[in-house]
Formats: sequence, C-alpha cells, structure tokens
Amino acid sequence: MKRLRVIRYIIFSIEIVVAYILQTTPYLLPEVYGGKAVVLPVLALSISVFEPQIPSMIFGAVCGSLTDLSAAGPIGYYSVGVVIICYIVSTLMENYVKTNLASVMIIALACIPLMLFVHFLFYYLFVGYVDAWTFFVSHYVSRIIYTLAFVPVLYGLNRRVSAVLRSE
Amino acid sequence: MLTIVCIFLALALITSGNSYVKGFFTSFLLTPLQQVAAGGTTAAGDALTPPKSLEELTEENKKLREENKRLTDELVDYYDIKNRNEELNRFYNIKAENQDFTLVTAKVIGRDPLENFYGMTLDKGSVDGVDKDDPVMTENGLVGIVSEVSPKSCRVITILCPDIQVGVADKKTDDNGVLSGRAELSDKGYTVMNNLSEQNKAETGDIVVTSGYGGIYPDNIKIGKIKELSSDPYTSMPMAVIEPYEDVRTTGSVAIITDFDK
Repeated sequence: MKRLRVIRYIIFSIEIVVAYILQTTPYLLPEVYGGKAVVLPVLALSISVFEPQIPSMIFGAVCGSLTDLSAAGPIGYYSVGVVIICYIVSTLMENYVKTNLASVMIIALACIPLMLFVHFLFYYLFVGYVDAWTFFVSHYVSRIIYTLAFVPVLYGLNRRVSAVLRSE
Repeated sequence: MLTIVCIFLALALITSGNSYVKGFFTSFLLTPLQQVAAGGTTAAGDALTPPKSLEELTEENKKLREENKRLTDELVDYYDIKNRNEELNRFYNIKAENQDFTLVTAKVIGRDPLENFYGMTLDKGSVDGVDKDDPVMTENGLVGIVSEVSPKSCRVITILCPDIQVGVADKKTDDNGVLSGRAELSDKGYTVMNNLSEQNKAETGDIVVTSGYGGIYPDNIKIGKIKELSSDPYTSMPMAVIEPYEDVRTTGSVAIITDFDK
C-alpha cells in the first residue's frame, strides 16, 4: 500500500511539472480571447479530490507556490489560496460529498472563478488600473472558462491514477 | 570493294564538316547501342560480384548508423550555431550604434497566463550580470525593464504595462513625456505617452525615443511612432498613443543593457 502511495505521488509530481511547463512556456497552450489557462490550481484541486487532507495541502502548496513564482509579484496569494481550497475539497470529498465528475465540476465552478476573481480584485482593481472591469471581461472571463475546461480532463486522469494505484 | 571504300570516303567527307549529320548518327544509332551495352556489362558485373555476407552487411550497417548519427549531431550543432549567429547579428547593430552599451542577449523562456501585460521571463539572471531595472530591448526598440532577478533568470515588465514609467521624447519636436501602458490598449500592442505639454508640436507618425531623463534608460533608444494624438480622459492632458516598433507580445529574444554611460 505504501509503495503504491509513493508511486502515486511520483506521478502527481510529474503531472505538476508538466502542468507548469504547459502553463508558462510560450505558444504551448494557445491564447483564447485574451486568456490562458491557469492549470496548476486545477491540478491541485483534482489531486485533493482523491487524497487525504495533509497530502492534498502539500500538493496544493506546491502548485500554488509554482503559480506565484511564475506570475509577477510576491509568493503568497496562490500558495495560501490553493492550500485552503485543497483542504476544503479533500474534507468534503472524504466525509460529505460523493466523488464523481458532477460534484467536482460544481466545486470547481465555485472555487476557480472565485480564486481568479479575488486575484483580479487585489492585483488589478485595488491597484487602481483604469478600465478595470473592461479588462476583467476581456481577459479574466476567458481565463476562467479556459481554466475550467481542464477540470474534467485532470479529474479523469487522476481518477484513473487513483483507481489503478490505490489497491492491489 | 572499291564501291564500299568510295561510300565510306563520301561519308567521311560529309560528316567532317557537318556536325548535325554526325550528331544524328551518334544520338540515334550509336548512343542507344552504347547504353544497352553498358547496362548489360554493369548487370553482368553485379551478377558476377559475390554477395556480401551477413557479418559484412551488419558491420556496414553499423558503420552507416554511426556515420548517420555523427552527421545528425553535426547538423544539430550547425543549426544551433546558425541560430546563435543570426541572433548575434541582430544585436550587433545595437552594439555598433551604441558603443557604450554592455549587452547580454537572452531568450524568452516563459510567459505566465496570470501576467496581463505580456511580461516575460528571460533565461539570464544575476550570474550573467543582469540587475533589477536594467532596460531590455531588441534591434527594433525598447521592450521593457527588468523587474525581478534571480541567479539564472529574470522577469521583465513591458512597455505595455501601466506600472512602467519611461522618460521619452518626440525625436522631431523634442516634446517630452512619460511612457506608460494602458489596459485597454495593451491587447492591441499600443502604449501611451503622457504628460505632454499643452504647447506640444507632436504629430502623428513622429518617432518617439527614450529621453534619458532619470538615468534608468539610455537616451535615444527607439520606442515607436505616434499613432494618435488625443486627450487623457482622466486628466484632460494631451497624450499620444504610441505604436511600438517591437511587438512585445511575440518577442522571442532580447538584449538586456546591463551597463551604459550615464
């Protein structure tokens, strides 16, 4: 069981590296109506659906920190935000909610837009850039939708990984 | 016998001064015959040549594979050197025009999806002599400024970002202003020259360059041309929309100015 867990975590780590490369390498993911997908938080969320709280938070911290590192500005917002989301998702999935695509999509629809909207508030609107709401519509809406499109893909992938590597 | 000799003598006389006749005989009579004969002897030669053994073929195959790999590696090196040469040639002109610049060439290795104004990550850092606030440019003009530095990489904010402030001047009229980005224009690749005086003589099409005021940017670095003159909707001051010469949204390689004469 421990061996399977280690292999699972190695696979998650490889997924994190691939997601980071996908997210930051120019021209790898196309830009859609001014927005690009933020893959790492979605990956952390899909991992936390199948893992207990502590590993979920650790993977969330790694994904969030990498997101902060690649973006301009200090480390903090995504590092903390994704950890909190991963803890909540892991607790919900473990105790209250049935794990299936519908429930994961509902949770993602609540968490991802909220996270990106708060990012917009703190890093854009409160900073005082002009025409903030126009910018939100032209950039953040497409970014949110594009990011949510990765939820079923990553959920399916990690569901498969967890199913194969959870028991003999 | 005499008849035959006479016929041949006549032929010799005809063909000696007439290359067309000779060519006719050569092309349509002799050459096909020679081709058939040569083909036949080659085929016969191949048939008579003993076939190579399996060991010989394996050895030959191995040698050819090694040779192929060596040539492929050389080809990869060739393309690397060719690309590097093209890159250095592009920035040679910058150095030639600005002898006092110390330049470090860099490639764009990252563009974050959360970056709203086309900021980029470059593959050079403090170990290469890059420092915060170093200007970044291409052969077409100014791109931005280094905002964060780590040992092996650095982040650049571009001239499309509202956070940047560059002292600029109209090259023709000498009107000074401050270049800064605007959110609604950044998607189109335009930036804005603010703080123009009320009595400015700037016109559409004028070239805008860095003024050198402040000491952060060297002077006379090209930025772009004035696309439109209008008033700032928030301050009512005259402003100019600038179309940069370098499209920072798609820039692939840049030069970082790590030192210049102030």
